[in-house]
Amino acid sequence: MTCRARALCCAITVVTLLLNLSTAARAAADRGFATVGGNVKPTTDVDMGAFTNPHMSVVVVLAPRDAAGLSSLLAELYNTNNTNQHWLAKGEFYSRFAPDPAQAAAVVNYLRESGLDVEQTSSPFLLRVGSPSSMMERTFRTSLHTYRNRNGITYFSNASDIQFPEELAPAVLGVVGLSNTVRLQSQAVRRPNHAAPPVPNCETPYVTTAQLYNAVNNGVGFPYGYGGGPGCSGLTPSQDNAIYGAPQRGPTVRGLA
Amino acid sequence: MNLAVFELSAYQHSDIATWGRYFYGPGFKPSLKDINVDGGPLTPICPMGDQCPPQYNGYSGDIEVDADIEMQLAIAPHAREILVYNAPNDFTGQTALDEYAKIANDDTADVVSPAGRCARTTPVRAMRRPKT
Repeated sequence: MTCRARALCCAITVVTLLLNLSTAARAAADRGFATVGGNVKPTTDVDMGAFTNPHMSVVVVLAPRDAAGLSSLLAELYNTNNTNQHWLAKGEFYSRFAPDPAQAAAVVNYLRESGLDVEQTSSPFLLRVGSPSSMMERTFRTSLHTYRNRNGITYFSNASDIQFPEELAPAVLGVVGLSNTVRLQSQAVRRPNHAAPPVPNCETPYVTTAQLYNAVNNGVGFPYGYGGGPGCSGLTPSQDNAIYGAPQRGPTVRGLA
Repeated sequence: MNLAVFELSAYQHSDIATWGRYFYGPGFKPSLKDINVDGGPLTPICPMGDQCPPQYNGYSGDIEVDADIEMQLAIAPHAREILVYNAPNDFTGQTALDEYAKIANDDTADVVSPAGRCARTTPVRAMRRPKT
């Protein structure tokens, strides 16, 4: 083999080795991360390309400690047949179910080492995080895109589920703020002018406040409770009264004694 | 008993006062305490990169707030206090999380009634504090 051929052979070998190492390193890095599910909503809206923002703020939501115990407690508290219901003592919820401090600190360290500004909030479950969008994408291993829906409304959202290092993923429920698709709507419906009064239904069981008053205080004068009735879910006025301990005869409309 | 409502719009105390006088008489004076989070819907402090459009804030949802408070007073007219928690109506859900956290941290409400519904929500669930 000539010198030139030998040099070429060596160069090819080195490049091959480097590529294999790089692939292995990537594979190792990928294996080290776990998906935190439930943080992306599949969409068929038009993808308009990358979303960028030099200043972005999100909230990392940490998982409760003893999630099984919390589920069990909730089931017990909301069981109307349970005769052992009791108020939690002040501070008891946080002492029993706030995120494990060591795990929370580990998440904070990971975020800060990734270059994000992390701010503790008043809740042990929430971490406010700020950075450019590009850093968010790298840290949470997703990409942010701009979309347009069929109504012509544009919004941004993460295109895939987020990831955290394997040992931290169980401590994280998700990240709020990687999409701006939240539209909290009032459930109140204004009656159109000159229209026939709407028929009471699950969404608008009471046409007037007077009907609500009568139904709450009489309990029998109207077929639907707030959210109740055939095909509806929720409580009837009598059930509401029973829960809150309101007297069945109700107020006398003479003012407070 | 203290009742709390979760709101995302400003409202007028005079609306509640008028309703209360009509159904409970001129002496009825409900105790309303307003607690604003993230500046509230009138002076929103919107998280960076988030949007709190004026058409969704201010008094835009006042009838919902009125309905929620009036519902509480219809069921429990002798409630010690109605705590009206309020935050800007934003597009990422962060202000709602802040409001829920405030309600939980204050820990003064015996019952909390959320209002409204999410037309399209981020999948992450906000934490709730159980109470009976």
